Amino acid sequence: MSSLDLLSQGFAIALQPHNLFLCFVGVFWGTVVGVLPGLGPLAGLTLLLPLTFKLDANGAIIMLSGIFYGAMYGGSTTSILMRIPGEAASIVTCLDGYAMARQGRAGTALVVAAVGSFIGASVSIVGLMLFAPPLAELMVRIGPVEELALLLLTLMVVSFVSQSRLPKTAAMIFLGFLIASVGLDPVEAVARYTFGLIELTDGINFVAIAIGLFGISEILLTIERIATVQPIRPAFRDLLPRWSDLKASMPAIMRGTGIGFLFGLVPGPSGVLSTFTSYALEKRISGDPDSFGKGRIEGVAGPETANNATTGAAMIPLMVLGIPSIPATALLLSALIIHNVQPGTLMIQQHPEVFWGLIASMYIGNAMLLVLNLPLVGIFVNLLRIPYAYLAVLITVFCVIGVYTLRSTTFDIMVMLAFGAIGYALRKFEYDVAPLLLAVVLGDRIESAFRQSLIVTSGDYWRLATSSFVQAIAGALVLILAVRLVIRALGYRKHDLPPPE
Amino acid sequence: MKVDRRIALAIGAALMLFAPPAAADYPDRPITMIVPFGAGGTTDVIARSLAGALEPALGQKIVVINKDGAAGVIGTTELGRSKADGYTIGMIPVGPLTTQPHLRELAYSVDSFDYICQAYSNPQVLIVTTDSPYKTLKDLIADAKAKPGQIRYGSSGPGTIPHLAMLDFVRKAGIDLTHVPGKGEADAFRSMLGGTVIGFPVHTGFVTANADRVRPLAIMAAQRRSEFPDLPTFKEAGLDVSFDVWGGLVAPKGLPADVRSKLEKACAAAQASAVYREQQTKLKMPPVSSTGAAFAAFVRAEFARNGNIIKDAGLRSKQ
Repeated sequence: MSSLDLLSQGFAIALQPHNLFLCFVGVFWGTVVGVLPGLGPLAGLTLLLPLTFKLDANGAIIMLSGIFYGAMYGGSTTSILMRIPGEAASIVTCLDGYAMARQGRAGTALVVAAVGSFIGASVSIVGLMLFAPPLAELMVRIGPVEELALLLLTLMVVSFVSQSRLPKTAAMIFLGFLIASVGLDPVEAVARYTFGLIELTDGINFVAIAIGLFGISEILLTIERIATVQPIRPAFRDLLPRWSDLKASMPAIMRGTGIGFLFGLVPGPSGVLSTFTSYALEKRISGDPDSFGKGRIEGVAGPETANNATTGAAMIPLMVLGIPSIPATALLLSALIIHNVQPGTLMIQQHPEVFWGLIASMYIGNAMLLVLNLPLVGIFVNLLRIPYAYLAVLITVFCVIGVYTLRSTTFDIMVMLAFGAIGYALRKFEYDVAPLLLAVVLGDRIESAFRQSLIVTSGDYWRLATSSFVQAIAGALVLILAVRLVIRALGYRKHDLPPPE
Repeated sequence: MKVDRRIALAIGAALMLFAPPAAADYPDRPITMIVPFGAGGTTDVIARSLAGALEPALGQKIVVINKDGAAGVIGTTELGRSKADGYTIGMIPVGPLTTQPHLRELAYSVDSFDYICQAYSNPQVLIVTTDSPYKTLKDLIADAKAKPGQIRYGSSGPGTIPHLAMLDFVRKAGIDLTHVPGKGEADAFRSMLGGTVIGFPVHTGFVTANADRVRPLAIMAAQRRSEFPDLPTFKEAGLDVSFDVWGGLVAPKGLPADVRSKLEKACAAAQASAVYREQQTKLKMPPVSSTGAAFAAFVRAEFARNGNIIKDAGLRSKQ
């Protein structure tokens, strides 16, 4: 049977009224958890997973994946309006999105984010549909040595995003690595920096760190100058993006799609990393890097497209091999097991209706999301009319709920509050906390890849360095460094960007 | 402050008046079942299935609570701290019960619990890729003897049952293999497909779900299994390697005798029920029935055996 037949069968499943309804519930709830700071796709999935016990496998997976990709749409809203990321993959959107909102272009930013999200997600579903098996093969060929090289390259690229000076950025990266080393080490399971607390054996919860660093600290900083925070009162005409804005964001959307899709294939927190990489790229190639952080539409369009493009790609290893590459797809895997669909290499063959039903529902769901999100822009923008004193309380409540839901433990709430205080102090001293979070994300994976690589080469660093793939990546690293130094030497970057307030 | 304390005392006294005198009418309110792993995992799916079958047998609601973290230690610690009144029970698997207490300093040990019944038990199978040069366990052992330390195997993590099973196999076969620990089963599978490791032990359901990509070499069980009649055991190769991933219903130590027997009977009835049987078959779980003292003896034997493997391998964390 050809793929087209299978796809039309998939649509026959996805278009059944109850599945259509479940798809809508999923994307709607996804948008909600995406918009609410603190609640991310993971919390959204965890909360609704028990509800799916009574559904069939198709309905469950359609609804749950709807939450996953729906959250990527909603995440940008509070980033743009309040500089508080709705979920971790929208952190970088705060930089230019919020600056645009201050200039009265919040509507434009939101519309471009929604359109970019739609394009990124749609292209990645086509990729999932057409190239899933070969891409999954490619993915498993990435051994620990190659993964290590890729991760180091990513670290180098995303360090461009930092808004503070190099020594401060380096300090944040080292601090992030230190935080990532808390917990059991990945090879010997020796407890490090746990102080005998069993809550710390798995390391410090990444979501709690992210919400603390970006959500809580932002509230503290804003409250400080609450007397001076002027509510933005957007006029209706500001909601409509100008043609020039749309035209400027198109190339960024295209690049964001590619970056997001590629990152989605690699295990790890692809949503976060792809957005930072996309932003770094846009900033590099713009010819005017200094204007970033001051309201460049590309700084919103690229990353917001990228995080949606990761969703389709992240489904590939799950569907083809039964290997979840990120926590959200691991929860989707759980849902499949609950419904007696054993994920694995035989799944598409044994349960074609699940795979094709899901693909069809993703097309439908993304169309729903676009229709849902565009009219919502007007409502969201008007949120800015609410006095900050009320908003701050609401946001804090959602942060606490979101962090608690993940593991049902108050310990994570303490972690979030502690990182709120740390983030506040660091930002007061003009340290950018984004590299810190990235180092936490990457540190964990870099360590396991590094340790595994050394086992594979029997502890031989030279063999590690001479693998052809590593050399190619190392070449790229040297090139990036060289370009950076040359740019610096030529004086193009006389002034570093002002650090975030 | 003082007022608060007085109110608290009063409430406490009032509650004591209403507290049931003995366990005669147990259970008269909903029972909490702690699952020390996340919603949707194997332990959770089986716990919910058993909870559903236990409800009619006990005539009370059972609330399943997931307390995930630290390889099951967080939930198990909480169960150990709970009151031994039969209103808090747990579905605790092999790891937190028999390996974690040997790996690090914990607030509980194997003696902190009363053992009600075993709920599931699934033997480990050593798999390799379908294009692997190893067709039998003998091939692997012979190659390992020719190239000591050069063959790498995977696992779902250091100190997990698959890891211990391989340590036991390596020692009994007198060979030297190198361990590349993964982060969970999926990560180990990726390592195997990519060629970083030759294979790793999995549960039987995994073999069925990935039949086109994995070749089972041998099963770590006393006898061959009816669902894999052609799959030899490690014993047939002269190696006494037997490892199951199992879990069971466990309560804090010191249950009143009548509560304990009620729970044991309810568990036996639940496991015999048609609904539960059907669910277990769908989950590809072979039926088990071991209650009370028999289950406790089994847990202690596993505890001692795994403790020795961990000690020999020097895996205990030096905190």
